[in-house]
Amino acid sequence: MVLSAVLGRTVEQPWHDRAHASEARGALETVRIARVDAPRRRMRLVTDRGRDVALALPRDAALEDGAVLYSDEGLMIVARIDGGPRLRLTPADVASGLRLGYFCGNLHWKADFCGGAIVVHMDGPEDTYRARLADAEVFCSFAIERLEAGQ
Amino acid sequence: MTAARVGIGGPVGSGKTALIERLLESFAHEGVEAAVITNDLVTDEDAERLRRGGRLPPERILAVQAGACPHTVIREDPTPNLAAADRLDRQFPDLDLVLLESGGDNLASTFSLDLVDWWMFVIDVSGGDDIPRKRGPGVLKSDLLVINKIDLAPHVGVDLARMFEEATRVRGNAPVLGTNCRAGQGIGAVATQIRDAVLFR
Repeated sequence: MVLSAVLGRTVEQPWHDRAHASEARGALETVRIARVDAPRRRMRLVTDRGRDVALALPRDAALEDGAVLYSDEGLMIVARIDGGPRLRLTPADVASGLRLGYFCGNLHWKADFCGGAIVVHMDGPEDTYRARLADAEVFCSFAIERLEAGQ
Repeated sequence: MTAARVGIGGPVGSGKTALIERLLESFAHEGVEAAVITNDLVTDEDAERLRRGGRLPPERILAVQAGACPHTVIREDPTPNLAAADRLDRQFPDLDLVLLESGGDNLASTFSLDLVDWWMFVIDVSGGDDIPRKRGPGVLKSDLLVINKIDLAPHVGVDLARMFEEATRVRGNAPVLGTNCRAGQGIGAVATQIRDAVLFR
């Protein structure tokens, strides 16, 4: 089964209602996709009920949490994209922030800037990230906080 | 469906272009419509080699010049490669597959998943059997690790079985395949990986 379009999102009212009805009929299946894999436009997946599916989306399709990938009377398939493990790095001062940002950039980490903090999206073991950050503590001061999905 | 995009990275001289030449032969037999984007530092060397090889019409081979470290245009800012791939999609709407070859880089080189759907990293036996143990991001994070030039192992003092065992271990059992591109050995298995992962054939 090839899923080739994002039909809508369950945050949109009509799709929310359809998803609710499908769930009530036992016709709702989900595919879990890690945040780091969400940019892929082609991949093989297995739904929570063991159905093998292949994703082949257009380049401009937005694959986000709640994306509806298939829908008919007997089946609805919805993507669940986890928030992914992240580390929030809060520098103690401006100088530390500059050095820390430069350091993270040199390591090619995927990061967002949020309210004076750098939020690093981890795509490997947390220990590896913390080992590198221990190196940075020599020349700048910052706090580290692990963020869970939804935070 | 739009064409699948597959990245091929790895150090200088590991055999990326040779692997592409062999894959193009394999896909041509299967009727897969392919195109290639090469990346070089400041030349079109690899694109010209592929055009000379005649395995694809020349207009299906585009060249991107990175002008700096090759990883910058496959990861940090893949805009030139995205533009080239979009151009191929527009020009050849029946394409099944676009292969994107990175310029030769170091073990930290990885592809942005904004650019490719799936990617492989090519190392070679003559580079040393300690490469997997060094746990570079290219070795660890690629969807497939290819160890090329396996025929050279006895000549360069490499314990091939140990190299594969260590590569498989550091990759958490993600796939590792051996090739001898010059002789065409192991190419079918690499093509199968691509077919299964993104062509769904």
